[in-house]
Amino acid sequence: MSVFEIAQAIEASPLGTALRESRFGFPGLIAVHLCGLLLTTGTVFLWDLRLLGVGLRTTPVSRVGKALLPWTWAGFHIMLLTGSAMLCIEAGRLYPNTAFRIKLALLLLAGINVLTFHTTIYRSMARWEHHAVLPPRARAAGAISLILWLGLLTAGRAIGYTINYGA
Amino acid sequence: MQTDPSGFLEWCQNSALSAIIRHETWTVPAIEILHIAGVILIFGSVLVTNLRLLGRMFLSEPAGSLAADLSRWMRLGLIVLVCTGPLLFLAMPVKLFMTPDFTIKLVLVAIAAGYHLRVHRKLLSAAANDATPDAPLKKSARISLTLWSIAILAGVELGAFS
Repeated sequence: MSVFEIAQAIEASPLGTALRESRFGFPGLIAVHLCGLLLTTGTVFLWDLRLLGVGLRTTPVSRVGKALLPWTWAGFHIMLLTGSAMLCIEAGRLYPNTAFRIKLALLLLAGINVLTFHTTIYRSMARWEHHAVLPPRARAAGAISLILWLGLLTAGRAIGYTINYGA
Repeated sequence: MQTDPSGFLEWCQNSALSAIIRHETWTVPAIEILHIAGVILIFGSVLVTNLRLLGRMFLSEPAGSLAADLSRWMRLGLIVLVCTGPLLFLAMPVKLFMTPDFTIKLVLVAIAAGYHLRVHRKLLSAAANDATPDAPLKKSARISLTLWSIAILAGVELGAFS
């Protein structure tokens, strides 16, 4: 069974069908997905700007994280939930879509970026978090995150422009 | 006074800039992404500033200095919107004009931005050095957060569904 066949089976499954035919439906899922996106990116942009040393410079990094990241994760969970539901609804049509594939790859890279940050430079944060200008690796994490999120936005938007509803 | 907008819409549609934007398929999506990034900057700074004023986050930081720092990012977001919004309108003036959601969104954004610039910002700068926000400022924070959330949700609705 190929990945494409699995995707088609998910789309045709009782869960996919039930979600597709629910009154809340696709528009509702997209709307909630975008609210999650606002929460996540709204806070993640400010966090990235702090790591880059251009925003909230007088606040130690750990305090910025403690204040913002719970909101970032709340939005991310909303997106994960609604995103998975939308995936169930049209997995078969999303699978061949290039924008969708790029979005998944960018999501993976964003995850790797977070993991790399937390397992390396984050461990010595107590030594540098009060500085206005942070170590290169912290700044790099901020810049990469900002670029990846802009890419995720673009890829997500592009799915709507390019997905094939024909046939 | 009732004026016919079709002349203006036609002028927009036939302008050289409109032709440039519509000529390539990637320009409208690219401007849209910039527009969305501007909205995100505004939403992030509005959310964090007002939640701080309401005592819901960043209690370790003085509200005044946090608000002053975030206002720079909010200003950048507003500049991005003022630059990209009219370009998107130029690309599809008739379509947007015929969409009631567009007019509603424009009015809601004008209300939110107007309230911010005329009321909220002044209360903020007056209270900049106080340790704890007073009741009028808290009330203003609630109003600001509500107005911006409604305006942005109207924009999301327009962008995603219209």
